[in-house]
Amino acid sequence: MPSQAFPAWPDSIPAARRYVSEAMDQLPAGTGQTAALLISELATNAVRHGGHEFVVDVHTFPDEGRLWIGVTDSDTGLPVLRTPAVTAEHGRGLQLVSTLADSWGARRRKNTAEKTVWFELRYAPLDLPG
Amino acid sequence: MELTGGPRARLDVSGGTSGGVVVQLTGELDLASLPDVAGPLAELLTRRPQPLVLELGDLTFLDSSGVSLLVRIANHFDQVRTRSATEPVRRVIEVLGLADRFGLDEA
Repeated sequence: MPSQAFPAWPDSIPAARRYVSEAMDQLPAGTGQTAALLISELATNAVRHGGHEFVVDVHTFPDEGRLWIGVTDSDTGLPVLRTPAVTAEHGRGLQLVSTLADSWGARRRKNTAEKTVWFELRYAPLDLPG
Repeated sequence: MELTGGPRARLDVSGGTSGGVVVQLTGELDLASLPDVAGPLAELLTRRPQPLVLELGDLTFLDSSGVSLLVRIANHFDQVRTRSATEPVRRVIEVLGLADRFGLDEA
């Protein structure tokens, strides 16, 4: 399954979006658009809090109509879901993830300094030739 | 529009026909492209509060980092209306419950 490491600097955010878009060129347009937005949010969190690099994993299950994307970095602090006021300038990234993903979560790996934040999107299964 | 090799986002300010300010955003707005618009944004925020129109027809991508910029503008100016937002941008604003704040359907 596709996986790629990115240096933890801001230019990696659009790069991660492009990577995800290319990894799932067969998905419905709306699903691709949502995936690009949510990977942007998780990559942004990794760049702002997560050490020197982050890894993006993309797993697609076209026959099930399921897409799983995870971002792993070396910051063990887990993300916090907030409900900002309309005048608040920050705190909306995970709000988008929690609203638009069919499921999402975060996990720490025992005895490592790593965490993965992931989301899953569902879509109508594709009719694949063959 | 695709901006390659240079700035990925742009913020242009002009006067509105009936007074007020028109702010046009172009490109993709995320944490990486915020520095591209920092100069014009700082200049914009020195203006007195007055009605403002956000022209978003050429903004192809917006995430929560870009939303933070729109919130700063909305906090500074009196009334904000948003014009011709593309579908992905409109969706982000609506999902975050900011459609009223940004006057999304009033322009």
